[in-house]
Amino acid sequence: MMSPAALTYRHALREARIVLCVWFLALVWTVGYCYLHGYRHDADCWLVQNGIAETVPAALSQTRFGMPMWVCWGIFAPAVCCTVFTFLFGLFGMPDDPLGVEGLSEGESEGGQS
Amino acid sequence: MKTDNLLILIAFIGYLIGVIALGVWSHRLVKKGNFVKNYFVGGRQLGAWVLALSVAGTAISGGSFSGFPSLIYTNGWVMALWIASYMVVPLTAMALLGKRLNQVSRVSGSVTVPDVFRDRFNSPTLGLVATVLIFCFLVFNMIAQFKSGALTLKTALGLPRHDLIIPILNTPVDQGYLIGLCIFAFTVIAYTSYGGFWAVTWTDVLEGFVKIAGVTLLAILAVRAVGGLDVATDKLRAQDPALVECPGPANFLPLSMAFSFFLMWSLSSAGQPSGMVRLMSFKDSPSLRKAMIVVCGYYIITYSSLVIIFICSRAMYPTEFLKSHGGIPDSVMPEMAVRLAPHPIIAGLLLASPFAAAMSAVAAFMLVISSALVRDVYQRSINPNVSAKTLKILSYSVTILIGVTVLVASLKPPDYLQYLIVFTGTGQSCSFLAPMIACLYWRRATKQGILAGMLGGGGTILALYITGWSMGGGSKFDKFSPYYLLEFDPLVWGLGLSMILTIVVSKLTRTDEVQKAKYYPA
Repeated sequence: MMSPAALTYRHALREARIVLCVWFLALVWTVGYCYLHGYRHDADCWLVQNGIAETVPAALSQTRFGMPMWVCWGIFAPAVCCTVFTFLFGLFGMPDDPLGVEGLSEGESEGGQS
Repeated sequence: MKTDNLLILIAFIGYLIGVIALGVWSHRLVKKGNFVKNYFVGGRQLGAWVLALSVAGTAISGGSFSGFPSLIYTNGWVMALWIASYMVVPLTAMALLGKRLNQVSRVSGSVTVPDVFRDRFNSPTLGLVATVLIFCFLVFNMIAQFKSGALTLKTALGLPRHDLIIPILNTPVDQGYLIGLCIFAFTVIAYTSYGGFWAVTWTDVLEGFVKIAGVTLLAILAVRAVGGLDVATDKLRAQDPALVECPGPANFLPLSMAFSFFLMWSLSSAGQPSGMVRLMSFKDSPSLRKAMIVVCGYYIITYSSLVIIFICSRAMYPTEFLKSHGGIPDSVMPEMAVRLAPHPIIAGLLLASPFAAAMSAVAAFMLVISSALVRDVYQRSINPNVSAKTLKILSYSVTILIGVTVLVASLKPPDYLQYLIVFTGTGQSCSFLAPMIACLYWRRATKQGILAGMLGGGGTILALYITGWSMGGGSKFDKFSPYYLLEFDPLVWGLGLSMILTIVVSKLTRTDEVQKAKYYPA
């Protein structure tokens, strides 16, 4: 049987792993999309030659909701997704664990007591 | 003084009185129970809303309201990519470490970040090294915050530029800036030293509401003034197509830097000791969960509004605040507040938002530094049997002394606040993030590994910044810019090296089985 303290540690570790996964996905999508659609590329760039990017991406001249298209899909859209995920994770993804009782640091006196 | 300026000042003074009143009220809470725990971590009793607004208050500092706006104004839409990683900051800054850090600090009775390292590995050396690193980096950050607060107040007072010669510095200092600096310093030093952690968190709550209300209102006013965000974007495109494209004017954000800044904001927020202290202070798990949701909504509204406001300001005033045209980029936020507000009283409240941002950050940093000095250096290393009375006197006087020292250093601060903030934020996160993650989650971590990670991360940042300054700066931004090795921000190198050193040195050394059993129960 696992102690409450060990269970708290286990849950915290699981939550940390989930956070790192979401962070990585957001990094790849945001920087990747903006690089492909927000930057100009040389004609001899392999991304252009393989049809992945354009020399002058169309998203540079288009606007959506008042912002350039690359901002809308590269930043605004993933930001909305992350916000929704954070709400759901906060509401349903993190169990309420006991955090333990207050200890006294080694070498600490009761000097702080008034 | 003109009537408008007087009304702005009245609104501003009303806000200042509110802040000081909260500081006085908080003093009552400090007096109950253990002084050190109440003064530095609020007795670990923070609820969701107070935790949320104090985390946001510390993260959204004077740089967000002075330096960041000036960069949006100068570089246009590319700044949305520069700041984009705030979309995951509530997760990385709160859920990544929050629950476990709170648990470990309760088990050990830790009150400060150096305390956590020291207690987890039973190593006074770790505590002292962490204290020195915190002190070095946070003092620079506070100079930037003091400058931001002073500039805002100068605009609120409507003071014209008038140079004074200060004997010690022997260089001219703007009188308006000096008055603003003194008022800002007096207010923040007074409430922080008197009310401690509770004053800082409760003023963070007030400041948090002022900030979000201010930027939201200003965003609406800015969009109305320019005729819509579409119009603003079209005007920017007409001024210079680089303002709506990456990498922005003068190759501001190449891919390597876009990657670096994504890491910067998302990870540096998690690695700040001022944020970690908040995570040591909440009362239970539900408070953390709810606070994370509040912070998430808070960040998305605040940063979206800031980007919109200064895209519109560039559309309305194409060159007025550009440094290349003789303008002062860092003053664009207060100037916009004054020009767009429909009434001077509202202008005063709008101006209070950047002021509040600087104040909440300074207050948190002052407390982090004073707690590190009083608790880690004096109480735990020099005099463990110190009396409660002496601790109180020391805590108050060290907090005041830090404030006054930074006030003097802020008389002649550098330009471009955001780069100072970036330097200190990077330095702290490279020093503390990887070691803290290992400290909390890795049983195999050793004190030697943690020490190597701290010194390696912090040392890398210092080395790259000093190299940049000695070469006259990167010239792209300012003489303060660092050396960008392979065009990546120093954070990438600092964080990478810190992580590698923590792991490798831990693997090469022996763990303390007693400590391991204490912090990793079966």
